Amino acid sequence: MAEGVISRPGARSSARAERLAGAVAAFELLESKLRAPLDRRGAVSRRALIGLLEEQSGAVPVVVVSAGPGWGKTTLLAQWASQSRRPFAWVSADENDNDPIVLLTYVAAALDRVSRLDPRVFEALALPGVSVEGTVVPRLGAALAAMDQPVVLVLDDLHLLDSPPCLDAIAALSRHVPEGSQLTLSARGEAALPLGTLRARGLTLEIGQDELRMDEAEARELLRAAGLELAGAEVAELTERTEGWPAGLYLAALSAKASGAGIKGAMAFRGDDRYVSDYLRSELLSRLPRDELRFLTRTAVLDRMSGPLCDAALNGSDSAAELESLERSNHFLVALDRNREWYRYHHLFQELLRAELQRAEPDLVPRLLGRAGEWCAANGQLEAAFRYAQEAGDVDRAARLFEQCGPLVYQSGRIATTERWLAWLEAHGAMQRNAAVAALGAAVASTWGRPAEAERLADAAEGASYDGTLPDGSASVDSWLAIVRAQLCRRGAARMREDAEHAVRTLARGSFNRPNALLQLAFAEWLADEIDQADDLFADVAEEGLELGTHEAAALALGERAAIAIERGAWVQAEELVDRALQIVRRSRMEEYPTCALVWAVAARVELHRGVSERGQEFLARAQRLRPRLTYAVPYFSIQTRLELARAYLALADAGGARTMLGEIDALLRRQPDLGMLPARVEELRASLKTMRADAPGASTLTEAELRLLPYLATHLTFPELGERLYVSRHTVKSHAMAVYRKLNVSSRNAAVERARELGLL
Amino acid sequence: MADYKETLRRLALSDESFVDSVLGMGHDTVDASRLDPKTHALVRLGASLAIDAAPSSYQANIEVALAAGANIDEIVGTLIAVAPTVGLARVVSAAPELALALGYDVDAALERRSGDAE
Repeated sequence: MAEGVISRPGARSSARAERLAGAVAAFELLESKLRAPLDRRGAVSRRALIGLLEEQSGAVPVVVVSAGPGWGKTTLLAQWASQSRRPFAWVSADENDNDPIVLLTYVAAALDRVSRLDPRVFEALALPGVSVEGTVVPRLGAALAAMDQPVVLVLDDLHLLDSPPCLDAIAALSRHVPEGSQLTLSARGEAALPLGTLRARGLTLEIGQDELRMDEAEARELLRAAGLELAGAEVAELTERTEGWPAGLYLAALSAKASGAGIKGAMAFRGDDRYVSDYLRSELLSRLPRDELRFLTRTAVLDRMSGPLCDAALNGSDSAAELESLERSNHFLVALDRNREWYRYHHLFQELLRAELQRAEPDLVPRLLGRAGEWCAANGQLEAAFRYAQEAGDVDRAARLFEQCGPLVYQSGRIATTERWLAWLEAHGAMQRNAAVAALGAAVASTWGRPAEAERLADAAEGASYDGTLPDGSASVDSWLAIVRAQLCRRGAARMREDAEHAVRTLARGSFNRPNALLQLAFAEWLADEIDQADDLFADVAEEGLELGTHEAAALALGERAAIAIERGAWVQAEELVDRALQIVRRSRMEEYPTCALVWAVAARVELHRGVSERGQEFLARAQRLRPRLTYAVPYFSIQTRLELARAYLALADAGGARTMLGEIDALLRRQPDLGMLPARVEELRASLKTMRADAPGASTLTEAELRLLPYLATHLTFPELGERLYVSRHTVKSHAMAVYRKLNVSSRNAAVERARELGLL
Repeated sequence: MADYKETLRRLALSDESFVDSVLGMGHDTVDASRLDPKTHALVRLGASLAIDAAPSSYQANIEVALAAGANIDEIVGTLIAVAPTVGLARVVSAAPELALALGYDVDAALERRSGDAE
């Protein structure tokens, strides 16, 4: 059973999840990350600082607490939370939050506990592929601004975040803090947050090392709580030696107690934390009972600890009792739940213990991590197991775990997490050793519009091997590879057909991949102009896809059938097929999946044909948002979708829009001209466009690059900063932005964002 | 009274509909010229290259040309076509601006070390 999970996929109706969170995330949330640590008995009260924080409550929207480890940042904020009149929403960040969807889901869940958030925030967060800049941040910001009571939102341990989209999102949220509320950010050292303008306008309260330094009275209180009574002058000297560093004072007290030497032991301490490891080893750890020391250092490899997990990792027993007794005697062990089931070490202490373990028993580290990972895997915590394998550097094991949990993480909308894991696997050579993982990576990359990566991973998959049966029961990895080969269609239409046939023939019965294989075969028949056969196959895909839960393929197949029906002039049938496709898209929350671009485009054509121009335009805009993801990685599909879009623009007599599609189609065809009947269809379109006159270029002529820029215009990043995010020069960004303004007929960035929203492009 | 800042921004963007409605310059000469829209757009692009226009003018002209069915080769071809008439110096200064309007940053490309992403 996972620790403190408050919601899990599929638990939407669970009374427990409702009661605890009111919010439903698409993946498991850890309860302990959403709670301020309990105010510990015996902790020194930081009255003066809390007074200052409360005093400033109406004056500044942002509080920044930055200082090194052990300066009492979290303790201060936890005390503030327990004493403030205002409710606190708390998120303890960790490395896994380097996915903006994950981080913002925690932020939303934390705020939701204070007062119910607009459910559309959670809906947006649960849409795989949703635009963080264009949709999630504006909605969450609006929800924060509309909170019905002042709130303090704490984001603790922000130094563990390094992903620019996450840091940008936090900076964006800081602009939505309503009066009387505060966003409180805590990090070691300077947080890499773009808060420049707020700082320049004096809208932040900064609390650093100087403010957190303990004075003599506080130091005495701390030492006393740790069981060390010193005379006034001694306290003064120790405070000076440690420069008021709380962790230093506490370590000094522990070592004095451990050595039994009292003040002499404490005085050996040097306040500079560069010496802490040496000090800790020589003065504190060496004096601990051997068993206790072994337990501490070995369990320090675990991010979170429970009795059974520690037993497994250490190959021992009675860890639960050990943890309980340690918590009573050691302030560096933090209980994560009220049942005292799960714990973690104070970060500083964990780092010191790990350094000691690395020094004393380096060979043990991978074995500890390995056993911890095995326990997690056996207890259904596949993601934790993956991370332990990662940390142990056990690439093969991590790859095997990814085969199982990667697709689930992906389906829960954590695209950035999936991509980070894949990047790690690739950097560690897994793609050359595990063909199944490389094939999964190639499929993700091609679907999400990263053609170079898709080709690289597909090549790696071809060169790699795979032992054993695949997770879908297929006997040979070649069946999976054939699907990827067909999807990328790098050797033209005829080879694509062979590959798809091979996959369909050799996949295991009931494989979740079968609808995908059938889908490729249907596309191949369609390219060969075998329209009846293609239609039958698309019908099979829709049926099997629904049966096996491969909804993406099912919705797409119905969209393809609707396109075929339109071609035959059977508009009534097309309408019925599109309705079914849209139902699946909505029910499975796939609105932002790139593959759904075709469904939207065909739906737009149906609506325009029915004379419902408004809905037609809305569907067109939805397809346009996804268009930048449709690259040469899946060439026939990217071209076909643009053809459908161009035909929709023709129905609107918008020659400029249709020609923009045609220009992109030409570029795609130059890369892969061997696409069966598609080039002929393109020429038909060109011919019908020949005599049409274009109006002034409008929104329909936005290029891929301009569409890609749109969501970023909704942020407060400058053009040079946007250039960095998009990997283009600032001149290019400026040039694209001006084109966007002109095509949307506006003259400012705000107006462009507003207009894009009206048009459904954001 | 229209905001003068808005006016200046719209002019800087080379906003044709604004120029038409406010300045009455009657830019839309396609019918009178009796040229097809694509040729019309390319001729206008050629003229703006000759007078060393601002980048946003190139950009606006290129957008019109693309919407009228011109392709990128034809747009670059226009620059080459006017080269003997306007002189090499003009062409050299116009090339990077034209490229930028097509989404290609020549300056950045010249700065880049080989092997960096394009």
